[in-house]
Amino acid sequence: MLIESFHSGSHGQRRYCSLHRPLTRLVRSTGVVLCYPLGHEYYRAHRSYVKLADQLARLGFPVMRFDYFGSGDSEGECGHERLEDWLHEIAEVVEELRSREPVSGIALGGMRFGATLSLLAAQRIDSVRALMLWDPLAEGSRYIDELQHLHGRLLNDLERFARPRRAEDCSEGEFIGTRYGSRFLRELAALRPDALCTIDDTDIVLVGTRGTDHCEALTDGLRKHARLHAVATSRDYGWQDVHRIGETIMDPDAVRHLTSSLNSVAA
Amino acid sequence: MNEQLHRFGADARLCGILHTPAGNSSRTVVIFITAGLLHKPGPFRLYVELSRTLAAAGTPALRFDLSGIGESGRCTSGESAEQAAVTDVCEAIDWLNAEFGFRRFILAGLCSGAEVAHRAAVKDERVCGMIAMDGYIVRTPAYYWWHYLPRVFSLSKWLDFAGGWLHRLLARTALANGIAPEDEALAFWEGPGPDRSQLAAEFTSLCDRRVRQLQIFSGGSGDCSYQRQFHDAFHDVDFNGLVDVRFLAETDHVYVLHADRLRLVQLIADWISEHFSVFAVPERARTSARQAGLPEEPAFPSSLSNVPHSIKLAGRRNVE
Repeated sequence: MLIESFHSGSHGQRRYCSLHRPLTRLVRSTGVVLCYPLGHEYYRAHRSYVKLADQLARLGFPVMRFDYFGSGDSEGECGHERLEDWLHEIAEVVEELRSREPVSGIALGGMRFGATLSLLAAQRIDSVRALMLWDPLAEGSRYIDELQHLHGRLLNDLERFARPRRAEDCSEGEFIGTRYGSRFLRELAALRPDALCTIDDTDIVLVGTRGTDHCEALTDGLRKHARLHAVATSRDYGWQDVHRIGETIMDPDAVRHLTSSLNSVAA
Repeated sequence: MNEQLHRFGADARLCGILHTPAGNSSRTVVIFITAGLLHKPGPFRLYVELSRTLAAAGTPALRFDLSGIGESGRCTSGESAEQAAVTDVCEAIDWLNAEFGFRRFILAGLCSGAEVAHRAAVKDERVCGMIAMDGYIVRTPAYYWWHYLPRVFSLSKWLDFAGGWLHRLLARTALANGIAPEDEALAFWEGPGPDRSQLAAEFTSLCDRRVRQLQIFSGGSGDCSYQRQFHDAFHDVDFNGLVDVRFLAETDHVYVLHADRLRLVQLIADWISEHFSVFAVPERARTSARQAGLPEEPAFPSSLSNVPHSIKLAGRRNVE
């Protein structure tokens, strides 16, 4: 595994990036940018992203992973206040990849809200040839409901805490240990599937696991304009299970499907 | 403050971020060791917040990925994961010493990171301090009393017990139906740990070397249920006033709640300031805690023997 990690951007605003250079002689002309999910799901997904990036690099794709400002190893203390800022950051990372690797096309991908951001970002970035959506979220209001429900269960989880915790023990806008800005939550609540289904002439690889039904709302809409390659798996990551919020996701089948599908549709 | 990404160790396989103060810097550096499969930000960025707070107060901090975790490459020496982790820490110490001239090292870790910190502290005599969050402890007879007594009279505990039993039953049924559980992560640190007599000998050795320790236990770890358990478990060890123990009864194992993390950060920053730093008490931790409406932490007692049997810590009453 050959990973080149670096900080990009100006002091105080630097973003942590990891570039997986192609491990083959034949280098693809499509570069891949992987967008992480938010909050506790970032930690659950991280190891899978490293594996996915490694597998794609073995097929000749240059792959960039990065931590959003205020998350992971990037500078900053909290996430963005506006949805626009997350999308702008993805566009910057695409440019960073283009400046480092000779790529002519881009594939964006991600899990959960990372997949949703990929869909939204693809509408404004040139030369997006493919998308890899792993358990994408289609409805912002439903996602917030799920977070609230899970957070409520977390506070009363007596396998985690010796006694139930109160809502007053949490910071404002905190869900499962991560604080979200009020403006971002309002914008998230307004997010609807139809806003995500305006992608034209793009190959979309979609993996949907058991226990999440966001994908159903998306697939019909995506099929109208793009070439959709959807696979449903029997795996259940337990997104709504309070006892699994610290569990690392390792799903070789999903990684295999995503890599082989991208291999067949992207140059 | 500055955050600089580095590669170090054999074959430059290890990846870490060194947080350094903007002005005067202590010659002591804190090394944060990753827990399980989590990478260097730590659970919910706990290590990021700790490193930034310490650096703001003048103490440099390194947080890095152990071999095979995050952006660090795999160890090819053929050692077990546990042995390789200790080797990684020693290589980090070598590098910090050679590259920056640090001579005193404090190892810090949560869960398996605490165990690695302990093992590396025993092995490497350059270690002068250790912060273990849910590290090694032994269950005492009183543990069972304080662990189970509140549960007997708690309806919610009984309901939770029933729910947990049902959950495990369903998981077994799923396994019987050929659905693999996603628990590969659990195998990472499986296996028996050192027994009590070995741990007692190692704690004695650390104290003989004057290694100062902060042992922090959470109520959610499941292995500690009262403030003096560590002291009782190792009653035959002369800690010589070098071990401070904190039992944070209401917190969970990974400090999932932001307010709990702030308290922990303040607790650790105060301890470092009291025992290692020549600089002022870190204002960053105090400011964050004040903004969150948390009360100020009490000053640290100078030794374990001075710890009262029941301590009110940041508005929480510890059980004993």
